[in-house]
Amino acid sequence: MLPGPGGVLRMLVHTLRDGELVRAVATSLYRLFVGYAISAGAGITLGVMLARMAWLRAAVGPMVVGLQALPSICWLPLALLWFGLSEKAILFVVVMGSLLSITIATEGAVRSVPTLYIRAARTMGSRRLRLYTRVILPAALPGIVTGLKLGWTFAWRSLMAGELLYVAGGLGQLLTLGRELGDMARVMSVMVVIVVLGLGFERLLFGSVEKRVRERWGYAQAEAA
Amino acid sequence: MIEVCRVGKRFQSTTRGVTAALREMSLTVGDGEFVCLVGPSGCGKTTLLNLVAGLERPDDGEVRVHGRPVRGPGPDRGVMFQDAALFPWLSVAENVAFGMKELRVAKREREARTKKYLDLVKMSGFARVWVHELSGGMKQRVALARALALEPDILLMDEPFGALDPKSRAALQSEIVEIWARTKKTIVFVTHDMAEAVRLGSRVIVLRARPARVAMDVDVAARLPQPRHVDQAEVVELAAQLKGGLDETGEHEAVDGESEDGHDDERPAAAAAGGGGARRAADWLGLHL
Repeated sequence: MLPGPGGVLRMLVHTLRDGELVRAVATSLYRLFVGYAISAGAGITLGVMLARMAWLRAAVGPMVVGLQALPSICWLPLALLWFGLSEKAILFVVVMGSLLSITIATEGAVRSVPTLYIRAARTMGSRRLRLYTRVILPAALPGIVTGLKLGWTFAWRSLMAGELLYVAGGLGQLLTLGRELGDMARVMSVMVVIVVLGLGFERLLFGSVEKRVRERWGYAQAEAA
Repeated sequence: MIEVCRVGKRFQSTTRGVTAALREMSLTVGDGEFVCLVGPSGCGKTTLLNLVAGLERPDDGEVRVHGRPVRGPGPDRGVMFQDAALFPWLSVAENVAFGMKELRVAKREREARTKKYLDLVKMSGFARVWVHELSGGMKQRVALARALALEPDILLMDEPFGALDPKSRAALQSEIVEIWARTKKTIVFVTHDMAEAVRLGSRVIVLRARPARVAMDVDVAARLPQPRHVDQAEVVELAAQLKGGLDETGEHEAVDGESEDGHDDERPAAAAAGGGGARRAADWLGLHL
């Protein structure tokens, strides 16, 4: 029923050799980075705006919360209708999958910035834009980083789901190919790659960054004396 | 010079409707004075300080600094809060330099002043340390350096030593008096601790609550020279007398109604309240009624 580790390993080497794996990884990662960059930028901006503008919160807030509950893959039919079977469609799914979780985390982080910091900064002459860039955003960074980490996970999952279902190229499609060929070893080898990439990036990008940020901002647990 | 002119400030509360924290409050602080505002919790002293700092606007009346009305916070009035409010993403030196960067002070000058004021608060070796590595007393020292670095004429302090252990508190009390003597700044210091107020201030203004009125305005410098100590006999005695006077007048809020000219600070409340203890306190202080 299940191929042994040897079989999986042989398949990995085979797909690596003929370039299929490398091409798939490159395609998936490209989509991931581009989609994630868009959702990080838009998400943080939207989150800050929601935190500071009560009227926007009232107008759009409930919608944001509601849409965030929508599993990201549900955006795919809409994406396909709007963009056809194209890169834009898959990027749309990746962005919509992660945008709102980043937005909500950012909004929460900005709203939790201690008012005292803002008061102290104002007594030293900080106003308007500089108040944001020099005080509010740095103060909110731990919460924003948590949101970015969550967004990354969602982006990766949205991407895999999208590639699996409809879109050409990428790791998700390799999975589908494996299924169509009835090739268990191929399916499992791709799964291994997906897990390794997912974990690896999470650790690399966020592991030490999150830890250091939390430490410096004073959120780290005190070590037992 | 700080002038508080017939200031009123009201707050909306969901439970009690509108309450007046301050009503027809008038006060003057001369240049170079070290004024302590003392009173029970909730008596409006922090509100008063916030109005001078420009963090809040009065509903009635006006606050003027050097003749010009206060429109908002600014680097001419340094503020220290009970929580040091240091920025954890910056090092100690970067925290001290924050305000200077805001004012676009040149780099060399920034570095010179950072060193100067860190030395003044005895935190010289800590320039590169992160905020989370500091103790409460150390954080307040850095907060002081940060406020001083902008070289304001006026320093406003809202119970800055309230959260510290007694030893740190005593040390910082001595140091703030030394710094005041050296720099000749005008300091307004809010506290609920009568002994601390008597220990520090050249002038102690005792407020009573709801709405805040000046109960007593005492020239401490005239009768007790610095250096003083919180446990010093004269300090303890004066603090007790002032507290006694406050407890008495606090009960007679209803009697001491609106005054004709609104200048309560010129008339100790003992005169209107008629409390025996208050009169004794006033006599002890040599106040002529």
